[in-house]
Amino acid sequence: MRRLAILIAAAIAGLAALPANAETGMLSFVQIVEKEFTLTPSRPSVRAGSVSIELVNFGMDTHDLVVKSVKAGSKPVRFKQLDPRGRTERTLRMTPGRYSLWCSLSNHKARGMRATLIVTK
Amino acid sequence: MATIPHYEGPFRTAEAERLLWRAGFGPRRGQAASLARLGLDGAVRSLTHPPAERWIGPAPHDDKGHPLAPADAYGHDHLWWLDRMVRTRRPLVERMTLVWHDWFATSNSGVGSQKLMLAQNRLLRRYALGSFRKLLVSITANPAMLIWLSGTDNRKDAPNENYGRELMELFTLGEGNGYTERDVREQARALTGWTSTWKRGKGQTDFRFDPRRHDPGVKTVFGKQGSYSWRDSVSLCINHPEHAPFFVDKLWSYFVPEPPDARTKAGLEELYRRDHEVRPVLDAILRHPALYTGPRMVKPPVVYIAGLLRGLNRGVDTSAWVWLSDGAGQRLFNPPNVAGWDDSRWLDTNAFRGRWYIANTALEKVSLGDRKGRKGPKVPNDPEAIVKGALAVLGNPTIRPETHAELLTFARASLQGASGWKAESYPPLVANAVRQLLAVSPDLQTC
Amino acid sequence: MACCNEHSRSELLRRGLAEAGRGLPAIEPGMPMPAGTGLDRRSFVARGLGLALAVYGGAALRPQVFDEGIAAAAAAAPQQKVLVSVFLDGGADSLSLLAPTGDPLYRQLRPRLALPPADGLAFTEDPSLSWHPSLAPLAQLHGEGKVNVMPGIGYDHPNQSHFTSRHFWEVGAADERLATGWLGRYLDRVGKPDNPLQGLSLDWSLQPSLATAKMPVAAVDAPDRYDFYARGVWGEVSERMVAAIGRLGALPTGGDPGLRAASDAARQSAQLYEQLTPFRPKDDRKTIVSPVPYPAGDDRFPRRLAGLAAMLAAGLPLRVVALSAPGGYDTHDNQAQELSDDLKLTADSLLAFQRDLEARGLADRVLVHVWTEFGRRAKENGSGGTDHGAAGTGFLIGSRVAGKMIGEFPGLAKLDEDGNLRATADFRGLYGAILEDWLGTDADAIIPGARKFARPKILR
Repeated sequence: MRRLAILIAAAIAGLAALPANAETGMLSFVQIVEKEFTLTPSRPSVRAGSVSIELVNFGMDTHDLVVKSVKAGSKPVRFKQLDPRGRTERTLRMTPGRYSLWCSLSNHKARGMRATLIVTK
Repeated sequence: MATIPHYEGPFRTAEAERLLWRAGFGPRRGQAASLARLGLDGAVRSLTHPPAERWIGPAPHDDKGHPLAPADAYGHDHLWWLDRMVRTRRPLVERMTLVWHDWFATSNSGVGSQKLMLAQNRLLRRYALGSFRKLLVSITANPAMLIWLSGTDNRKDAPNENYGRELMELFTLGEGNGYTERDVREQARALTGWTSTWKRGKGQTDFRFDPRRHDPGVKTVFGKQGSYSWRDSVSLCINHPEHAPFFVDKLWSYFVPEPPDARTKAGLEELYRRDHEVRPVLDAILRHPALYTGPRMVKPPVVYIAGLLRGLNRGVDTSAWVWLSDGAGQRLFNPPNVAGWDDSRWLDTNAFRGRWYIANTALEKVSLGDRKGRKGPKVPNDPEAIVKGALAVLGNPTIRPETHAELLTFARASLQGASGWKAESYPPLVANAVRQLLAVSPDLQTC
Repeated sequence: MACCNEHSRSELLRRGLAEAGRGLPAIEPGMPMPAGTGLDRRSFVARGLGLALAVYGGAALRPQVFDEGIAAAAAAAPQQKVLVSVFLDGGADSLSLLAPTGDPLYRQLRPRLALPPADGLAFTEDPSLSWHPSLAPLAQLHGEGKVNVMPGIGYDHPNQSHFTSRHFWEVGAADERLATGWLGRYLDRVGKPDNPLQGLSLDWSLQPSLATAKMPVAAVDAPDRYDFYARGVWGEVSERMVAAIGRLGALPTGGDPGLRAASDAARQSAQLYEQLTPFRPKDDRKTIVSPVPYPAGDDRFPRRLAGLAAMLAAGLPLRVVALSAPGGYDTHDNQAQELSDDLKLTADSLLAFQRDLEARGLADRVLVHVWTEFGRRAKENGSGGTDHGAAGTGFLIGSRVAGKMIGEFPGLAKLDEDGNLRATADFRGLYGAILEDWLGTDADAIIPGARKFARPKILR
């Protein structure tokens, strides 16, 4: 019950990071490719529910990823920093809406490392 | 017309097996025997003129049971293609797609889009048995290739020679073979004009030829002059007298380890020159005595893996194949550089260990013995039966008599004097060991 | 007398630092080794190599040939000079390794990152510079005359791509298409076809500077983890199984090159497994025991250096060894903390290695070259870090070095047109000196255009 409550509370904010061994059922995938100075999702939209977001660094510098719903008051989810050729993955529970994605390091976002991901019903 | 030698010897299970390994990914259970019944010509024809595709076996999935998302999940591209190799009814088509992937080696490390790499893969498959001329035209305009070899950076005011050079050096003529540095520069000029639009959050899109970026002047290539454009670049290479010899040597080398003799080479070149179609050349190569009587070739890692799975009747059900294949030196969609994989370097002590663990992963689902309290099937304390069982589990591959003898010796020595509790528990251990040894034996690493 | 006064003053400074007792005390050669230190030479050579060998380029040879080749090489050249190449991956910030604390421009360019003047140790050869506190162990060795510092080493037309610049350093030329490493070309020239240990990459894969065209070289990742596990097989049956790999690989191949390649790989692997027995952990027995303590923890770097010293002590015929230092030096942000931690482990390990060699009486034979692909920009960026620059800092460490700077500190007043430090030494000149003066071979044959680059004096 407690876990369900946590999930609901987080879902109101737009997305929730799932505990590592949560049952995921249907799962969508999206891969975010980062380079200097671009950030490109492998698809423009994913279906709401469990979404496996994978970050891959094809660049020559360190990068990271922040995912945040455009709704006011939502909390951002931060991915860990990656060295070149590194990759990391997180499965998030996402509700329908628009999400901003960007690299938070230095001036990377201003230089172009940002994108929008649509989560559909 | 030079007649190309044609294999006249017996075409039995062993020969059919080799054909299936060279022209595909190894036999499914019983497939070598049924192919042998068609005779050499029938067998080759069934490969070069295959039926419509139909997938044999259950759909692939990752370790958690999720269907693959080849454009959106790391490693799923590799698994998706491996699955095709395992389940295809058109093994030569898939194998030729792999040949073209090595020939036009494009790596996602430079492209950064699994989606674009998959689109290129579809292109390679479309021309697997078809026109090399059309393939070359299409690959020149292919987005993944345009990114990889800087095609979209090649502009009239700032030419980039990358694609022009590799087009000749690696794809059509061979290094320094019938072209000069000047030809490289002039080809680069002819290839100008390709461009794309970068859309933030979408990447490179809208790949197109833009005449405003193209250098319209006269170029001199191979001593000929004209206001050549990119299609001319391709034609000039295809029609170059050194192209057919290069093509034949290179295509042959994927199927037969020693170069063709002069008569064969002349005959294949003549076949190819007719209309630059690949199928007739393959028909001849796959019927050639050198394929059946010549030395063995080391199986490339993905061929080894797909073959193990086909022989074991197992599908793609784990992501482990991605890093296991990488550990043995071959990650699909990521060749080491534009020259492709080096077939002569598949086996050093590091890669051998990689293959050991490939075999271990393939066999673990059928490993014998009790597990988690559940009793496994009884394994007889009988060396002959154990070796026979190991061969059967792997689809009864043809092995050297010495290898058979060595496995038997191992089984006997391990079971000898095993009394008391050992008599009960050793047989499954020995059986698992024999299977593993068979799978990594030099016999099964080569074909 | 004037020259001697100045000389003796700097000598006094050095001795002062050395006696300050930082780090481990210098060990006199000839001190007896503690009991149970590693394996003695006879057992190493008798078993061949107790290490996991990924042999590159040697697949055509039988492992017995390697064994004999290694024994022969060890017997023939017991005093072979060894070069150890340590790579700081990412472009280490030279202005932090040796900070120009005496220059007011420094604090202007590095308002957040400038080293507080009290923190660093004075660099005796140039009082305007201070060592990074984490490099105290190197300062110690420098005080003993065992370090040549290159405060601004690089090349003209600097390239700021990690892969490209690193490639230039690895191939010993500003040439993107050159496919052999500079040390690989050295081995192609002087190496033997039956000695894969002549070039050793202490890593999972081959360090590119060791890439040869024809001679075999080897990669060792973790000697204690080379195994052949199979599901559902254990104990005595497992041991027999691995031995059977070797026997399968020894079956006649009838001259078939494909079968032979597969057979060779099998045989060599089985042999290595056997030779590795002393390193495979059994119960709680430790497999490599060093005469000096190395930094504790999980990191591979100190363990690899300890293993290297043990191999050298056992007389294995190594010529060139390459490995990467721990951590990443591409500090675009959070530089202060990251650099501090990574440099400390690196410097502590290098000091332990030097002491280990001294204890084992090997210090005269080994030269360590520490390098990075470029330095970083003089001006810090807005994220508490620095971006890719040009000239960087390098070191040569060993008992035989001259102990003098190679090239002066370029200074902050005259940066190049991109705002980067100018190079006061060229890496190709340094390579030339290492090849000729240390390794005793003709540099012209190995470094393209070697003559164009000034060759510094690197040894005493």
